Amino acid sequence: MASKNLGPDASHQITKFILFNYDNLIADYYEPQKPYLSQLAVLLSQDTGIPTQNILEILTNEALSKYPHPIQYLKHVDEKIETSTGYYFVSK
Amino acid sequence: MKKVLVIMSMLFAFSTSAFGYATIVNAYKGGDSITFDSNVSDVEIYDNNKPIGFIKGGSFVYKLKRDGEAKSFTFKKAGYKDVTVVANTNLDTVFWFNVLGAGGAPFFSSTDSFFTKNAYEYSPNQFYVEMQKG
Repeated sequence: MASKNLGPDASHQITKFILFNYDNLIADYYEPQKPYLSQLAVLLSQDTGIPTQNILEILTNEALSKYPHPIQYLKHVDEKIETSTGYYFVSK
Repeated sequence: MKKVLVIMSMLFAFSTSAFGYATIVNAYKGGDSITFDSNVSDVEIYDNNKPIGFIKGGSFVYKLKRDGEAKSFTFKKAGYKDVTVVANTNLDTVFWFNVLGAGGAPFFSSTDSFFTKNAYEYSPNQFYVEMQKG
């Protein structure tokens, strides 16, 4: 099945959210409450139609917390979401 | 009277920010580094139409001289739309603002930049440029 781009507006919103909240997103991996990862899951859920809880399970994969740079994190979140759902937001 | 004047001038000196802001003083010597990243590799970067380098897999770091002039960076890759970022340097205002004790001037960044929807300055002097197929 071919992957599908989320469209320019949604992609812009998600990219911006990840880049500008990178520190908080990484901090969420070490906290019981995950407000930033949950917000990102909501944004991705809105445009993919996949339930928020499923997206949150993908995002809370600990391997994603190991990327020390916002751009690397952005690209790996995109890859992970594409592999799991067939949707991507970073242009290829 | 002399003693009073000396004490007053010392108090004034310590109350201003004249002893801080090493970063800004350093900027006079070497300028600032700007880091560019992109979603794709092999992107050519032009500074006011002069080629300055490539983004190849990682980040591209460029030293920007603070001369108060706007610098226009264009990102090009065959098959993709060009993206332009304009960085406007403004050292003097910030420098004198700090020296005169007005504080850290948090609303000024070292570059005051304008960019299109596909370029993000996500932290000071760090740009992410998203190239899109055209």
